[in-house]
Amino acid sequence: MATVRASVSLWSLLTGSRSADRVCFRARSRPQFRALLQPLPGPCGAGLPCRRLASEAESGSSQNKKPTFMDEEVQNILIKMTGLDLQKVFKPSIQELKPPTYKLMTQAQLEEATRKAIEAAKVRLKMPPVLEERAPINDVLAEDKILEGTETAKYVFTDISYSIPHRERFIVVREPSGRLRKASWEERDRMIQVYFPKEGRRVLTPVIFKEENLKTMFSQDRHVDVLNLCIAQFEPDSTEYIKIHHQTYEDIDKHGKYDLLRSTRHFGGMAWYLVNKKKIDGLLIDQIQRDLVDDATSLIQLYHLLHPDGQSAQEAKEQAAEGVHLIKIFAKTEAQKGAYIELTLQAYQETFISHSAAS
Amino acid sequence: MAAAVRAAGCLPTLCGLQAGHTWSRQLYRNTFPAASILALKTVLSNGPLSSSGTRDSHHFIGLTRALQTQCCISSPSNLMGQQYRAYSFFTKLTADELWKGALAETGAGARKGRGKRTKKKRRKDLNRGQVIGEGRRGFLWPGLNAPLMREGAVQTIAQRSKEEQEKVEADLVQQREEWDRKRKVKVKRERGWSGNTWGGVSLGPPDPGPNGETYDDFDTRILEVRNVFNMTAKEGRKKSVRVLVAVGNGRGAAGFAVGKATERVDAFRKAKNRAVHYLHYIERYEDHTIFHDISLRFKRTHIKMKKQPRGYGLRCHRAIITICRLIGIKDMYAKVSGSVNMLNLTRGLFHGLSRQETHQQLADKKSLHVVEFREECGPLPIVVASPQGALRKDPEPEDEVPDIKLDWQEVRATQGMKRSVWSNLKRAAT
Repeated sequence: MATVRASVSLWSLLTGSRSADRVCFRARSRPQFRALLQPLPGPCGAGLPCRRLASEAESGSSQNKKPTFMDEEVQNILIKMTGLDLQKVFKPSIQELKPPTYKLMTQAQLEEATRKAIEAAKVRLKMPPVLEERAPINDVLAEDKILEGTETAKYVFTDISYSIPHRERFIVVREPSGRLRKASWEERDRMIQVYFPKEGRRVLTPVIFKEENLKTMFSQDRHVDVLNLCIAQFEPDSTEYIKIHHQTYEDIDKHGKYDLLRSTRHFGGMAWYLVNKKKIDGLLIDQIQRDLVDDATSLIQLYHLLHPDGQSAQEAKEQAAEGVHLIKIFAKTEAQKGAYIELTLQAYQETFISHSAAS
Repeated sequence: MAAAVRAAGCLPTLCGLQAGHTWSRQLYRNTFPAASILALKTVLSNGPLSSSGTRDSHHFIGLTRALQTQCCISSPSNLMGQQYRAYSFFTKLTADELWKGALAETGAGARKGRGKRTKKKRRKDLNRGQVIGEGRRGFLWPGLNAPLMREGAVQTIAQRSKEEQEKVEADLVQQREEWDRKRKVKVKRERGWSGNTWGGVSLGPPDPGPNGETYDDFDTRILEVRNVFNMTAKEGRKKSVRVLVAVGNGRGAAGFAVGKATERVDAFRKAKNRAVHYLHYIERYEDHTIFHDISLRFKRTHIKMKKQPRGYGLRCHRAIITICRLIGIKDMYAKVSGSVNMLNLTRGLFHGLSRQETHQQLADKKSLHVVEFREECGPLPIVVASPQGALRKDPEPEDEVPDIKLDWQEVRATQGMKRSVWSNLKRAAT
């Protein structure tokens, strides 16, 4: 039962996002869905899922499809908000130092080199995927009571053929009770790391991901390091990945340290999370204070994209608001810290006026 | 016993006889017997005690034995063998004359550097701690060893009790021993590049100039101390000490000079004060290294210096390390080949470092931006210098194979043809 429902929801996600054809992990995830769909138990035949799909399609056409993280519009907004500070993107990394090389360049060559650096920075700022949490695997392949009592330990059998994608690999566990079951996600990750080690990933979870150590890292303002280590260690749809990311975003929101993630590849994920949780007030205030009013308006546009039924979205559509007006509408309607937002806006406008008057 | 009585007897008689005359004669002479019997006692007591082993005092044994025959002794155990003479050979000469005879500084052995270092005798002031008025009997003479006036009244002559006198004598003995001990303490000389070399030893800041300028932030380091000889008509080989010294303030100003004198200390002083007059200002990149690789040849000394990033340290010849520390360079690699003559090495080093081309100079010369690419920063271009005048439009011609002269030793090292135990050796930092 659970598997059917899960597969249907994933299927709907797949249909919804079929227009977007971005990241490489997509190629991996499609086989995953297919793999889950294949071992459907007998009673739920082909008829039932088709009927379910039909109903989904109807409801989908009547209202706007919920935008996902990988939509082009969403990605554009997020990339614009992330910014591109070359100095921060190419901060000196901790490595074996070599003496620098010098080149004599004309202005044109310098601009060319800067352009190349911006391209490289864009590649570095590519956002890691935001996926739903993966459903646990509970498949039993066989129950051999005859083997009960023969062994004292579990045996894990992994298919180590080189050319199979990791998501499609067969990893099964024979328990001492004689049960042959499919390995759980954690066991799968561990085994794949043992046989096909990935750089930066450890077989056993590093101690840094424990609560108290995470707290220490946050107190030292090392959120970026935490997120990078998390991406290296866990799969994007694993429980720990999502949990750690949410924890980090919550901590940043609590202390208002949004600038730590600006110009990194994690800013988009944070903005997406905050918009989904409807907690964008802190971020808005931070943006207005740093004179990034365009970013603030685009954030509110994203909010309206995701929550079109909300009060502020409706009012904005009525009034066809633009720019600062949009922020004011949002502050009046759906914001928790509306007063603060209006105050910061006022202060910004005053400084803006005085600056324009002076110049 | 008899000797003690004689001793006790001699003092009052000395005082009794034309008191003023005797005192004046003895004071003028500064002789042994008048110079307290206590002093002699300490010498005597020191003699047998310290004769075991120390170099200085066994020269005194001859003296002390002679004295023992002349003078009386403190400890009652030695009363039998000791003699006391009020007027002897020692009382007829001054202390200076006696010491001149005992030390024997002038003589054929001392000239032309023939004197051995271990055979040098040291002069000791035996009247140290002596107070006019202090004697074995312990009389308190107002004005001499007791205060003259007490509550406005002139005091009378008094005498200390036996215990008090013994205590005073013991105190003086202890004090003299303390002074001796302090004298014998060997002050550890700061170690330079290794024990017993003067290379790398610091001489402190140079002396202030005649117009009041101070050089407190400058430190001087000795690079070489050499004994050089000159043949003269009268004495033949005449030794002179030649010292090469470098000064620097760690912020780019540094210089070196040679000082020559007969004595080492004078040579140090001359070199130090001369070096401050010959300062070079050396440009450094970001205050820790040179601007670019330098390879130069000065006379027969080849020096090859390479620019290094922060944290690399100074991996160079020890003299170059000393000089770079004085300049303020913290990271550099240098290889010295050919002659390692210290003078030429220093001269060549300063020559090369002063003729560096800063990034700004390079930019102005070529009228192009000088752009730095660092490994740790990825493809980010960092503009370190822009030309002050006009910017050129045509780019610098760049060949596919750069037309530079390769260094055979470097090529061998990169190709793995070099077998050396000294490459990549783990050394102490900087």
